[in-house]
Amino acid sequence: MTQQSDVQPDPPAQSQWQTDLQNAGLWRKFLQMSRWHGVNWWLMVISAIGVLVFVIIALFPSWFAPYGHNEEAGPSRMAPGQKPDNYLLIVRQDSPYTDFPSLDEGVESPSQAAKVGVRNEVASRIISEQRKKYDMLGPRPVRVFDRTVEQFLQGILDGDYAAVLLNEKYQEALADFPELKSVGYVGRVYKHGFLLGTNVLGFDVFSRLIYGTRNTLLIGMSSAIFAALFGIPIGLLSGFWGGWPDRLLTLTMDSLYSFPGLILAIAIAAVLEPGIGNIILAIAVIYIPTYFRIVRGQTLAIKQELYVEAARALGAGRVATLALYIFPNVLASVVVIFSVNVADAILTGAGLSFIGLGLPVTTPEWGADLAKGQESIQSAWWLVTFPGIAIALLTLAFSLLGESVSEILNPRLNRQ
Amino acid sequence: MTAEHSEPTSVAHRSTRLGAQGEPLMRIRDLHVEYATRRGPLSAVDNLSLDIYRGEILGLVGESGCGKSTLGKALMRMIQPPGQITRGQLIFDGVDLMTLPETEMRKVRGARISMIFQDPMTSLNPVQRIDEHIIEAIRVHQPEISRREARRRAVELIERLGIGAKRLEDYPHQLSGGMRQRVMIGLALALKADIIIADEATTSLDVIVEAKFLDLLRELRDELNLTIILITHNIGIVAELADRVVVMYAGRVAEVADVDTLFHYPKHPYTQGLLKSVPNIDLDGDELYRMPGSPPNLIDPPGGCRFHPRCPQAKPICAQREPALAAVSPAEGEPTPHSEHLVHCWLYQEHE
Amino acid sequence: MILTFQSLCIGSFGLIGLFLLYAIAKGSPSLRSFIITRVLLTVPMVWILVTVVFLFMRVLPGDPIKSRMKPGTDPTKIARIREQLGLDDPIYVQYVNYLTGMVRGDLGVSIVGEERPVAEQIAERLPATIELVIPSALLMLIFGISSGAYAANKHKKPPDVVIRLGAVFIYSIPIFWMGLMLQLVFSRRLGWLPVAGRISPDIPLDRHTNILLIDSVFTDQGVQAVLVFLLVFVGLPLSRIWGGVVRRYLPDHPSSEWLEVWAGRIHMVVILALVFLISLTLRPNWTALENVLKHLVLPMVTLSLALVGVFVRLTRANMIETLQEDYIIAARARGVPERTVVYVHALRNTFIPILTLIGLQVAILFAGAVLTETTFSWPGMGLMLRDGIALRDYPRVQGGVAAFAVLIAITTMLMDILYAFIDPRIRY
Repeated sequence: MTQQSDVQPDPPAQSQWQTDLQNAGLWRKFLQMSRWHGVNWWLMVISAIGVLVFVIIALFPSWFAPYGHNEEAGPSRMAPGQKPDNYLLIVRQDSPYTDFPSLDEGVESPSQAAKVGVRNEVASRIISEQRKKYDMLGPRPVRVFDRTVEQFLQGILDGDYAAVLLNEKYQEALADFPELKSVGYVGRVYKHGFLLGTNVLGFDVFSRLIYGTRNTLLIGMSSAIFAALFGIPIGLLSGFWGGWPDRLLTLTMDSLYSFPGLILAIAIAAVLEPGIGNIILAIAVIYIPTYFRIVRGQTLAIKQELYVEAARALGAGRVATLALYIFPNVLASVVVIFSVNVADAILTGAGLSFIGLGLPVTTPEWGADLAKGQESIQSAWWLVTFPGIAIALLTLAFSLLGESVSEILNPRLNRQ
Repeated sequence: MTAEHSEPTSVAHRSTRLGAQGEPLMRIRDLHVEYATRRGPLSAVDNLSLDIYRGEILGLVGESGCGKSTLGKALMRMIQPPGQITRGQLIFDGVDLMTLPETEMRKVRGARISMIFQDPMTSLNPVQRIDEHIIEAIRVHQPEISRREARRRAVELIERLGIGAKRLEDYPHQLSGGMRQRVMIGLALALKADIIIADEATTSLDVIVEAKFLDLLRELRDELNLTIILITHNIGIVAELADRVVVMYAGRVAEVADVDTLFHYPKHPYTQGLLKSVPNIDLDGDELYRMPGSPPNLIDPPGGCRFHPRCPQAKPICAQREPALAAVSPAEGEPTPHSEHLVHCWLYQEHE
Repeated sequence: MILTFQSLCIGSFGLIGLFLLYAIAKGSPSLRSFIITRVLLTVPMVWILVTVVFLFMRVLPGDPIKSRMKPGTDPTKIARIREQLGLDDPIYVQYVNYLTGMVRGDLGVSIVGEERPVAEQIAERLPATIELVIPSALLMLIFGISSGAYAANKHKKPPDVVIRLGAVFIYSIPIFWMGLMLQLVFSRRLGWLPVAGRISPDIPLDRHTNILLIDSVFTDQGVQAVLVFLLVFVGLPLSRIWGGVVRRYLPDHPSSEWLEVWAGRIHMVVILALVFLISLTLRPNWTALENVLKHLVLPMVTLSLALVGVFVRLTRANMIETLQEDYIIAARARGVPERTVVYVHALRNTFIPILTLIGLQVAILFAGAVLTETTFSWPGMGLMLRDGIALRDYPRVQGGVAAFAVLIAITTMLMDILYAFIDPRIRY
């Protein structure tokens, strides 16, 4: 697995190639490597760039996201790219009202003024918001579905409503009513649609994804790191010392390894409070055997190697042998496993959130967003589709990285 | 020394075996084999021509990497990419194998030309029983033979090779190394192939088993009039078994002669050096000769004769032009060789 | 009722036991000791897993009841549940109770929703999980091994790169998302397949085994099922002996060769004819069968796609190594056709290491099953776990996970033994 063993069938050519490489500049080295490893090299470069992009997004989400992660950016469940409707507040020419909140301030006869004509549900949401803001004293919406725009406008003149919320699209109807005027837009004015739509709560899906990168990546990487921090030393010691502790540990780790990580994580997460830290803990625990097995196997193999025997014969202590001779050689294979493991942990984390051991709505995380999206899959396909694509892309970047690096480092498969 | 004790039929073969007359069974002409490497093509076999006669045991010797194994594989067109036969003819029984399509070539492999591999431990399929190996080898080429009939032949074959028929039921890992190597011969003989190529076939056997194995090869040759190409770096085996010897150096033939002539009157400086560097029990005390230098890099071989940088008798012409592989006549006091003695060296050729 | 889920379980475990006894009796000493060790090893493995589950659920910081109950629940009710579950006992007492309960098949009683024994719920849900897992595993094996072998055969050529990248790509897709997408396209948009569940509620079907594929084929009590089962799994092995007997007393004469061949085969013909005759008496519930199959398609494809990526990679890597072995080159040198070399010699050798890996992949298979069941509302053990979590029904989660542990330990053990039996290097 180590690079030293990457011996090719023609030793003179190999050594020549290595000296060439030592003399070459960084860029030329890069090109040389690409010629040497072919498609695997490019896969590695591309996936490494992909991982880097995700890391940058995770570190600086505000550079990329147009809205906040908990910001009610628009109406509920807007389809991707679709522009939301804007509403104008229509009142009589002689009306004292200049904007929506002032409607209830200038109430003369509450029963009259509080009525606002409503043409669709989106507008009703705007009104109910206003009512919340003003302690339920705001204008009362009147929903009448069988009336035309003209009938609504006529309603103001007839004194049925104090004002009407008119969809921007029907502005032209106003021309027939010189007695009425538009005071201006009500609520947020949308100039653009939302790239990937909005969710049930009106959050921008794209911004949620950007902000969710951090948590998803955090779950994947830190659980892999914690698992490695525990698994590698245990594996090293177990393989190095051998004896009954080794047998016991191996049996335990093999049993755990044969058990589905996700189900074990369900058991762990079921007793812990929901939260990112606990998800990481649950996943980290289940990946310890992965590292243990690899490291122990490698340690056993390397322990037999001549150079380790030689070092010990020369009087190197146990700790020194382990730290200076065995550990560095084990590390190469751990690097490959780590990358694949991060990919796996991301998938497991997403699975946990999906099953419902996830996070509160306020925490943006792809798996949790996807799980919430499943509830409205019938009406809003984008709520499920895009978080899934994001998870797949992130996992793909890590697993491609692991795959290509292992192909490059593994001389067995490259023998021809 | 080979045929003295054998049956009358094999005496008749002896003349052809020693290359006196007869149409060669296989004629190799201008064979070039190259391996594509990152630093350019590596010419493993370069412009090689050779005749192989029916019934002879031909020893193919040389240092590691001189192209002898490549040549063995090339004879069956078994060179795997990145290697490739770039040029040449392999005329076998009047047909140029190089012109055959792959499907026809497949019918030659195993049926007409067989191969015994270096390591009998790994050359048998671990999940296939011995009888399945042999039955498959027979039925691949003669599907009209029933399984039962094929098995009967397998029993005959395996008993002929000195293994009990009961062992046919076994899996390869249950047999000893010597038995496996005999099974490998059995597989090679299953269809009565004309040529058997034994590629370092004894390297992994211990000395006693090796001796038995060589005896078996000789017996089989005498009995079945086989042609055996013995690829080895062990000069002793060649001296013991071969009728004719081909010495290869850096992908080219250095010298061809019958075994007695070659060992007693070697002509090529490389052959001379090679023979001097063989350890010999009789020569106690004497230090072994060590040939200077190492084999050339075949990606960028030296011009002219490829041996000239290491040759103690090199002349200016040696670095400039390649000599021809030409017949030499015996020097004064030397007996007449049993077969044509060919040397690839300027020392024995006129130039300018 | 002859054919019930219980009788099916007892029957298959009986057969497996017979097979093991046969292997122990007839096998070589190495195989014998391997099987015995492996069977005995399963006990500590199950014990370790069950203990780990216990430790995680009781010892980790966090109270299973407090954290899971809705705020404002009546404290007396909490106390009652705590007492009922024995959570106030010292930890070692809890552990002993838990283990003895497991041995007796008692996994506790649900505290939320229908308050039924967890073991009963599992017995009800297990057939559904089995019905999902086995067909998916078969589909995955067929796809994974064939495309992995093909890729290895074309090592470093475009098909290899495409298959390899495709495998990584599929592996990277979250399985539940893939399920949702398939559901979106084939069920909701195109309307070809049902959205969720195992069978439409309006289709009447007697559930004696609760494995609906079996139920809809063997509608009446399943006498035929038992006969077919016995014929194939007991009759075929027994009749091999008969074939051997016939062969022994045939004259050894070339003309008797065809006779011998047919004597060797005739037992199969007889048994297959019997199976055919029995199947003529079947009255399958075709509408139910069609409905069940339609429900099965999407979950099955989802689950097998989730695993196929891993398998393609495993097969490919193993196969590439095998194709470089000496015996492969030797087979080519004997003139064995390339297809036979690759798909018989190499694949057979590749299959053995792959089989051990299947044992390890059982874990992924069950994890995938949990997610797939959640996606497609497939009423198996995975959905039970999900419901347990959603309802904060702690005994149900613990019992479900423990049941998975036993299931997986047994499956892994069987895979390992099968591997040992197939590999001649261990068998003899």
